[in-house]
Amino acid sequence: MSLPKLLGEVAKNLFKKPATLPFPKEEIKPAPGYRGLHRVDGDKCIGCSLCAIECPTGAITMKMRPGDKKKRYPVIDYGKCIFCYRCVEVCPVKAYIVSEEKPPVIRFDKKEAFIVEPIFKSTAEKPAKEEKQ
Amino acid sequence: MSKELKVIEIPVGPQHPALHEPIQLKIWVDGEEVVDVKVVAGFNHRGVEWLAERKTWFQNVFMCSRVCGICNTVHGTTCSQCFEDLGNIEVPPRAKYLRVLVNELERIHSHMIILAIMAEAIGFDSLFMLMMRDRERVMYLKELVTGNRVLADYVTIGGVRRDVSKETCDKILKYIDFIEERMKFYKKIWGEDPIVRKRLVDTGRATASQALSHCFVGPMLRGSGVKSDVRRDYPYAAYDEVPFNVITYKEGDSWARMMVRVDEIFESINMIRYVIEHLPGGPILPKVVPKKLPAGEGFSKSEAPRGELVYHAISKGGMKPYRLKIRTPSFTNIHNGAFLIKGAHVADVPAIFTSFDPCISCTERVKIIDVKTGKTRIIPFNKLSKLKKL
Amino acid sequence: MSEEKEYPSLEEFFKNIGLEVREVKPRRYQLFVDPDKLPNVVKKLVDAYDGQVYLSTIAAVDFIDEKVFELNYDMSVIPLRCVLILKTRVPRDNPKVPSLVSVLPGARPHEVEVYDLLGIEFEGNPYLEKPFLLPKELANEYPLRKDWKGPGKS
Repeated sequence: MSLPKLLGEVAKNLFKKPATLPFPKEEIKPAPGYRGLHRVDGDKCIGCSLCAIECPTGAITMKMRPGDKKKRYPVIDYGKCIFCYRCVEVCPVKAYIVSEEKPPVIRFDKKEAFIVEPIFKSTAEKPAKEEKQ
Repeated sequence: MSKELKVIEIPVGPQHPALHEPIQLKIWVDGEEVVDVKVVAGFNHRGVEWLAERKTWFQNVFMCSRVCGICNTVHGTTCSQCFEDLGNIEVPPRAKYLRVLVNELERIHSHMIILAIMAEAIGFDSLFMLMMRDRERVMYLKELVTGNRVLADYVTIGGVRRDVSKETCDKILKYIDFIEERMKFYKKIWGEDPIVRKRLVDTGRATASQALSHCFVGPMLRGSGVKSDVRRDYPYAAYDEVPFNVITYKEGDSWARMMVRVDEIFESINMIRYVIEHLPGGPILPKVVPKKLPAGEGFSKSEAPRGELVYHAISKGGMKPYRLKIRTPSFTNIHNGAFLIKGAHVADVPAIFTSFDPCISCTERVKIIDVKTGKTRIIPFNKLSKLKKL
Repeated sequence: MSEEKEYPSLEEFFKNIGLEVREVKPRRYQLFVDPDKLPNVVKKLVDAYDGQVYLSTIAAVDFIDEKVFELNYDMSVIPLRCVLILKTRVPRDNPKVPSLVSVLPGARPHEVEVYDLLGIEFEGNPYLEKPFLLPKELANEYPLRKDWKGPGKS
């Protein structure tokens, strides 16, 4: 009968540690290839605006570069981004840097902190992250 | 015990993260027997068909994947196939096999979650916990292949977005062997356990002619003995080359519908093994995929875990569709299947309703309104099945 | 529901009732029907194939330039393993179509959805109600029509 077998399984589980992963106390490593936080490499970008046109949610806006070059560069709003990586796919010069970092928890009272500029050679900005939930 | 007429109203809020269709059931009860039922839907209406007329073809594929969380890969596949049918775009053979791989992984995890939810609805909590723990291996496989546990975003117009490596294939085979061992254990419980059989056999019985005239689809139709499966009748992707059996049970009750799902998991496991062994070489995308599609009509069907999914697109040429019609299987099954609840006991309502695979929250509260005296009682949905006498 | 029985092909069946069906893609057939003949055609189809015919969906389109509504009845014939699309057109200022609930009871939610979103009336369907899927604020509006400008604006 199947009933005693289930009881045996339940008794075994009494002495094992819980199957639930204790996130966020412990870091969880996702499988390789996970679609995580992505940034733009500002020096490779040519300003073609393809990523802004193709984005399904309209999370990318193009801003003018200050200075003499009349080129545009993309600014990503992580509050609207769905991490589908369509921008990474259509970029003709592969200017997007991908990673497996988990996206931050968005706070809607501090929306401006999650609108992020590209990484240029001199400065290296990081999006604002909250330490505790 | 009192003999009053009572009305049960189930107000629903979308609280369960794994489920996607908030719905309201109104049941009129005489003593312990259900006399009439009415389904009230529309709590989660997002206007996807209206939005689809305002987005480009590629943006639509991403948006339509988010119609359903549990079967998002199938929605992406069918949407891409509909647009490929409209524009006469050829899909390379390797991409077709990879689409089959991801769709079958989706079927396994979707069937495991509805089996777990049915176990909870009839009160078998340990089976619910064990099945959800084993389902996590399938979610890890999905993350390995597509990049995300739930929302895959894997299929695009013309092919797929990522390739699989040899290490990924070996890992898939190893985990699939583990899932098959566990499913053999679960099949014995679902098939022979006396508690499960006493709750599910002979509840919500539908004959084959009733199932056909009420237009059931998917495991609901196959659980009543009708041999109909979109993968065999109107094949898409690589299903004309991958061998499989169409599972039917002739009883037509809730037990038969759940056993169809248990057996389909074994068929999916064999299909995944065949796909990995016979994966053809070549590219995963054609050389050029146009951004503008010509005028015409596109139609595509596929077999989601819950039934038949239909996409019908009408275009007048250009960057956006003129009209996109999406028909999900749960829409037909729930509205048309509500008549099965009539004549059943109140305590059997969760067992019947969950066998439609409706994906509503299982921890919802049920409001019992006494029509004759006006008294109301609030009872959680999963405790409803434990009611012996009202 | 025997599998060995020989069923007529769709071309033969429609020739017997005086209509012509054409195969637009492999296993996908299509034809135009007048709206008042529609329940009769469906009833003969269901009887000829022993009830093994079901309705997948009703896709209704608003062609505002031609001033018509077009309805696509996507049906599936199980023994022949094919798809049949029946198309009808009704004028935009008087959209009335006879209902199929007496022939196929499973057509009921699709007809109520089309009535809710586009305003086409199905005569003979006692279950039509508004709002069915839409919120209460849009009880008198038809969002999928091409001249709908937004809630409360037209």
